[in-house]
Formats: sequence, structure tokens, C-alpha cells
Amino acid sequence: MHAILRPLGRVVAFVDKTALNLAAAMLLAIVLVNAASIFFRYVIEAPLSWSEESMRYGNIWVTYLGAIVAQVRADNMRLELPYADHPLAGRVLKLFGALAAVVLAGFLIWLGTRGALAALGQRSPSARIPMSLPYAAVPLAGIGIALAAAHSFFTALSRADEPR
Amino acid sequence: MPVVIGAFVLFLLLGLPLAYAFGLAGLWGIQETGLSLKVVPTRLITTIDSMTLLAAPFYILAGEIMNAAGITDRLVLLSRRIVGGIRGATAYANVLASIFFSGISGSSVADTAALGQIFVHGMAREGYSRAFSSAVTVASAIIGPIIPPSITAVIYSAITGVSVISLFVAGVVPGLLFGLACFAVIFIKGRRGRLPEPTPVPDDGTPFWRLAVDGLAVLSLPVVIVWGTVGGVFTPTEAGGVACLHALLLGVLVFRTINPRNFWSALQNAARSSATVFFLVAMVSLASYVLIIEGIGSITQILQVWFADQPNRFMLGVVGLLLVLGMFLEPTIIIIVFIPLLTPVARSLGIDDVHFAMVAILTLTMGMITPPVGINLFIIMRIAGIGMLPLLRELAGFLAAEFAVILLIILVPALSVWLPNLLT
Repeated sequence: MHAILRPLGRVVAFVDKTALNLAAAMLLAIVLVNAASIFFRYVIEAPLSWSEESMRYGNIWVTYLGAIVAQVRADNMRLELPYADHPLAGRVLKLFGALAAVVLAGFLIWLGTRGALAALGQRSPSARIPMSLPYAAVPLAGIGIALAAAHSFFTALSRADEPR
Repeated sequence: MPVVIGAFVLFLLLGLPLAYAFGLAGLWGIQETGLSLKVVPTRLITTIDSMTLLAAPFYILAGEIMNAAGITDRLVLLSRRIVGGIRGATAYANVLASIFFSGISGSSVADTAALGQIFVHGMAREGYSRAFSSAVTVASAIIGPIIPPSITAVIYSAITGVSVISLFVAGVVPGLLFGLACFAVIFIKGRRGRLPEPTPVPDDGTPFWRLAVDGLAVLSLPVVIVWGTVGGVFTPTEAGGVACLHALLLGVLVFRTINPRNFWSALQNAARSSATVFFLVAMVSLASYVLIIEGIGSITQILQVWFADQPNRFMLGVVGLLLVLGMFLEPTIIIIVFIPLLTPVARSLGIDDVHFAMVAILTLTMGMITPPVGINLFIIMRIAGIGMLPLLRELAGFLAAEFAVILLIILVPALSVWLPNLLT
């Protein structure tokens, strides 16, 4: 089990760090485009036609990159269940949670890829951004979530997260 | 419809995150009802592809930058100096700091986490019980999503189409009334001798004028947002971006505490918080799609018949429903699934959109501090190391006072609509 767990852990840590830094960089870019948009409209009096769409699509990428980080770091909101503290029940819930995340990630990969392929050749009205670009964020998030969930599953299975 | 609701409850009880429970329940419902899965990628993108919603990450980032700049400590010190050495001073200062903080964060979770760390331990050292300190912190932290900027108002506006500028401005008076309600509860406790003797005001050598200037600099953030949007200088979304730059300039030039390292950290935190909210919105859209197709909208017609010509009874019913839903669900979910069903009924009864929105938002924020699933309760319990029951005993008075404010706003619509009507 440890033969899978260790390299998978390294991959997940790399994915987490990359996704977080990309999401932060994307957010910074959105803030800068927003500032440029106001500047060009009021100071230069030449509004940027591409700013709104690029900010919206950038935010879609922030969301789905952040969804990977949320899976790795357990950021997503959930109920605090009283029986989750029981050793056996807690382990079963962790295993089920990881499997369910893999299933959801599978749907994101499958349906997201279909969406991105269906949007091939389409471009946004103002910025002329290929529409498969925002759609591609969904399957990519699916891959990241699946990797992180697989790591959680094997960790719970091997009891690597329990105190010795 | 029963499949989606049943699957959602089952997944929640099996410990899945809310977003995953909604996503999987929605996918199950789509399969079960024979709808096409082709709609899934479109909903996952178009629901969050909104210029109005884009304001939310901006306001989250502005709050994170202010936090990274160490503004919280300054606000706490300023609040304590303003209140002085009266009985219950630190409790009043806690509420005052929440009001100040609400102008920069827009989220009660952020307020609870930031102010809880400082006040719960600080008040315990002055002789307050941890349960009371925690109760004051969570009761006042819910002012965060009411006074502008407000993430809840941004989401509400994106879903219902009510002007976000009007919602921002409308939140000022009810937010201050919530603060006054908290002051009243502390005052009554103090009069009954249930609060410790006042302690000397902490003095770190910073002159009061310096703290006041810092406080005014912080309060200039909501003023810039409201002035800019009401004046038509920029849209609410652009105002969010301006708020980020404003916070950055304050952190770099006025407070001189922002450096590339903590700025990057603020960006990372904001991206994480924002992604959590948006991913939840995208996943809820799958479940709500099935519910709409399956005819949940017929509830609107039923309610229109039930509450015909009885707007106040309808508003009370809405408050009751939202309080119960808020005990189990996050405000974002309730806004996406239930508010679109209730808004047409309110309109048909002649209730002002902004008035209805404020009553709904105030009630939903109370859901953040009601058991069993009030997220702020869990945050403060972890910080203070206390159980739910002692916290609820101390919180009951605050909940009653804030509920009274909601009733007052139902009966006197001018409290929420007067300011937006005046300014917008």
C-alpha cells in the first residue's frame, strides 16, 4: 500500500501547490484587468471590449482550480457528525467520502470533456476567446479531485492517518 | 423530486461536503428522471459565469488584504479606546469592532474567525465566561454580511436580479440595528451584575488620533464602494476591484504592513474561499435544475393563494421558513433554491423587492448562528474550546434581540428602504 501512497502523495502535493498558485495568479490577473478596464474607460476614453469576458472566464478557472485545493485541504463545508468521531464509523465515512469524490470527479471529467469538445470552434462574442477554454476547467478539476480523493482513500484504507 | 431530496440528505448524513452532496444528488436526479446529461457542463459553467457574482471574490480579497495588513488588531484597540472603562466595556468593544470589520469583510465567517481569536481569549482574561465572550462574538459577527460590502447580497442580487447597489445601501440601517440589539443585551447583563468589573483600557502607547485615522482609513473602504456605485462611477463588480486596490494602497502606503509575501498569501486565501462558494453554487445548480423541472415552482402558486392580501403574515411565514432552513443549510444554498420561489409571491403581494431581500438576508444570517448547523457556532466553539449548550444559553438573549429587529423591519419597511430610495 505504501508503494502507492508515497508517490501519489507527492503528486497530490504538487497538484495542490500548482492549482493554488495558478488560482491566486488568475485572481490577481482579474483584479488587474478590472483596474485596466476602469482606467481605459474613464481616462483614455477607449473601453476594453475584451475585459468583461476574460474576467468571467478567469473566475471560472479560479473556481475549478480552487475546487482541487478544497478537496486536498478539506475546505468544502460539511456537517459535523457526532458519530464521525467513532474510530470505525469515522474510517467508513472517510472511505465512502473518498469514493463519492472519485465518482463525482469521474462525472466532471466525462461530462466536462464532452462540454469542452462540443464548444470547439465556438468563440466568445467580444473577446473571441475559444469557448472550450472555460469548459476545459471542469475536466481538469475532475482529474485533480480524483487524484486527491484516491490519495484520501488509500490513506484511510492503510490507516496511515491514524495515530500509532 | 423525492430522489434528489432523499439522496441529498443521505449524502449529508454520510459526511459528504455540501457541494458534493448537491452535485451527486443532482446527477442522480437527472439520471432518474430521464433528463439529458448534456445539460450538466452548461450548468456548471453558466451558473457561475456572471458579472454580478464576480464581485464576490473581489470583496473576499479586499477583506483578506486588510487582514494581512494587521488591521484587525488596530480596529480592536480603537473600539476598546472608544468604549472606555465602563462595565462590559470589552463586550461593547467586541460589537463595535464587528461593525467596523463588517465594512471590510462582508462575511460573518471571516468576522467570527478573526475577532474570535482576539476577543474570546482576551475577554476570558478579564473575567468574562468563555461562553458569553463567544456568544457576543458570533451574535455581532453576523453584521458582516449585512453592512456593505456583503457577499450574501452579491449572490442574492445575481440570483434574483435585485440591484446589488440597493441591497448594499439597504443593509446599513438594519446592520446598525443588529449592533444596537447586541449593545442592549450587554447593557441588561451589566445592569444585572452578570458582567465583571471594568478593567483599565489597554494602552500600547499609540495616540488615539493615530488609531482614529487608521479607523477612518478602514471605513473609507465601504464609503468608496457605496459612493462609487451610487454615483454611477463604477458598477458594483468594478467597485469590488477598486476595493481590492484601495485595500492594497492602504496596506502598502498607510499601514506599511503589506509585503509581496503576505499579499500573495492573501490572494491564495481569497482564491480558496471564493472557489469554495462558487463550486457550491455550481453544484447546487444541478440539484435545483431537477427540482425546477420536477415542478417545485408550483409551490409559488400555492403560496400566492395561501397568503393573498396578507403581506405581513407572508413575511412572518418566510422568516419562520428561512429560520428553519437556516438551521440546516448554508445561506447560499437557500438563496439559490428557495428565494426564487418566494420572490414572485412577495412581488404579487406588493412587497418591495429590497424590503423582502433585507428581511430574507437578515434571517439567513441568523441561520449562521442557530443550531444544529450554524457554521459560526462551530468556528467559535473550536476557538473557545466550549460545548454547544453553554454557548446557546448565553446566545439566547442575543438571538431574541436580533429576531426582534427583524420583526421591527417587517413592520417598518422604511428602516430598510428609506436609505436606498434616498440615495439610488
